[in-house]
Amino acid sequence: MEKYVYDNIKETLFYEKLPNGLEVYLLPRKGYKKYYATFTTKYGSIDNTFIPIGKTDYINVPDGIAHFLEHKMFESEKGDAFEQFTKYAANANAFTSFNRTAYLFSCTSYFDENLNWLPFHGQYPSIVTKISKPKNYEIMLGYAKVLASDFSYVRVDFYNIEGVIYFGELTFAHANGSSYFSDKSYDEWMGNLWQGDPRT
Amino acid sequence: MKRIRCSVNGLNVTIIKTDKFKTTDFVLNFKQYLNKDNVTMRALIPYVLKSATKNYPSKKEFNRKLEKLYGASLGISVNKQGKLHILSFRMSIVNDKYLLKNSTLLDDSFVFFNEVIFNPKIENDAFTEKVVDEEKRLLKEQFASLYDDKIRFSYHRLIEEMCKFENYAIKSIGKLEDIDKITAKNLYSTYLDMLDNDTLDLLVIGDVSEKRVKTIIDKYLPFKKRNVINEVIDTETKTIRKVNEVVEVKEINQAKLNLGFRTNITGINKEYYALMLMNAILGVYPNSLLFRNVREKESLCYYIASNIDKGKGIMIIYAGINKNDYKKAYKIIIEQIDKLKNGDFDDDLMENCRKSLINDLLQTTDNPIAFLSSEYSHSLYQEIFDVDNIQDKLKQVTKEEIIKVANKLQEDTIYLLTNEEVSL
Repeated sequence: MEKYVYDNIKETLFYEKLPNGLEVYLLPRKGYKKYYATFTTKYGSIDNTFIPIGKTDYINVPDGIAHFLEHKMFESEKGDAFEQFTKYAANANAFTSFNRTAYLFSCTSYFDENLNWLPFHGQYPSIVTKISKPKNYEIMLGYAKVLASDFSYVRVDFYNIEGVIYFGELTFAHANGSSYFSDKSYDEWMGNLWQGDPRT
Repeated sequence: MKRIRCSVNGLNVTIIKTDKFKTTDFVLNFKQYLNKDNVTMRALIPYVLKSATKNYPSKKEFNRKLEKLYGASLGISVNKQGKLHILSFRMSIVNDKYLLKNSTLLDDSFVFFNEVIFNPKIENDAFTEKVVDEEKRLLKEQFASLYDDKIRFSYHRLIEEMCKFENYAIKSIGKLEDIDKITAKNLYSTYLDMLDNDTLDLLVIGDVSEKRVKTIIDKYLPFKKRNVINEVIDTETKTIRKVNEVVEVKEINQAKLNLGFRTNITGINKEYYALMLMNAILGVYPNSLLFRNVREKESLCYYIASNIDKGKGIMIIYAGINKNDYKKAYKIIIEQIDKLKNGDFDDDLMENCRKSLINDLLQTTDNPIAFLSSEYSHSLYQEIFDVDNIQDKLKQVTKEEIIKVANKLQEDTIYLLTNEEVSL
């Protein structure tokens, strides 16, 4: 990411434009417990005309469509997105101004390969987590990626004892493929990683 | 983060030195025993001081000055905690190290703060009639809006009934019927008494030097030495022989069912953290027992929650219900308390509530004013707002301790606000 240092206010901003055109800004704040994210599109209440993707001509839409779409976005096949946010102790909201529609959320817990947050849990909902990465974490992650590269799904276990990494095991069907995830959609997501029955 | 405590003039000073924030925030708290004879006047004073000073004699000039201080904000609040009545004045300003030119903004802000506290607009040894009349009118409106807000109204009514013969029945904003007795003159003498006799705490948070802050306080907050109040716990209580039942009739659609309990535990008891967690399991979060069972499962109420008072040792459950359901709602609420007493709640719920409390606690540290207000309320109990320590205490609470504190709960008063005479 590109790095912008603002000495006068002692802040550093990171920026990257993704291939799809999405502009991403990241502002790390030392000492803060809360994460805060916004997703903004340049489409607001004054915009009632646009060129649809793949077309050449403008179309007209009714007044108020930006605000209407803002609300519709929270509905999905997985149910009301607000409920999902609440489940993980995140506060979510959105607003529409004259020329912007913005979605935002804040929370204090994250979980994924960077020990950030993934929106499901097996046993305990993650409400507060403040875990620093263990020593060797990145190295183990690298080994795991190499070992897993031939498979559609595999769980890789290591032991990390006093700075020495020991290989544990490869598991192709975690808990026989029957372990529970809090939301069915994530059960399906995990299940879809298996191309074919992993027990055979 | 570094915490410095010292005493300057008649002030207890706490400086929280941290580079986390771009602002410098400070709060001056006046504390005095809650007293029915002067509470209404005291409640009015911060509003009068914020209306007109000698050099900024109207709200317009007052606010223009704040704009000149780089959009500084000045807030006031009136609260009670335990047996204390607390008046707070707070300012939030941009830290002047980030300004290109004005590196004396902190000094300038304290000059203005000094003006607000010590230099009100006066005439003939009294506040000005016009200002006092206007603020009296606005205080009456606060009472009117409290009456209109039936959630808050019924909450206060429960406390009034439950603590009928105790000082705690007094509201922090005082009594409506006392407002008309206030004059520009008697209000001014109450103000002078407050300046001389209240216990004063100043808390500052930001990236500031200890020496600079001390010099500024010494110069701009020249309070006289005084006797200091260290108590907070309101020990007045009563022997409960029979649960007190009160039904009040008003023209309303949604009935309110509020229950008051004596917890027999206050902030100075070591079981306080167990009580905090017990209360969270009972009625703070959407997964708490009351919300889950009384609202979601039985659809018996519109809202329901429980609160504990750290300085008074009471717990209040408050719910909005359909007026025909009060008997059933009462029964199911009591069942939830029994679950706590019998340990009939699962570990998942306990752990989630514990995490939520810690989550709320951590978030407090991201906001300078919230931090100072937690620091101050802990200081009332001779503690510091040490997040790690509080987290540890919450983590150590066991299920057995929760059961134990639940068994100390004593039902005191049931208050029902509804639109027809009924018996409980």
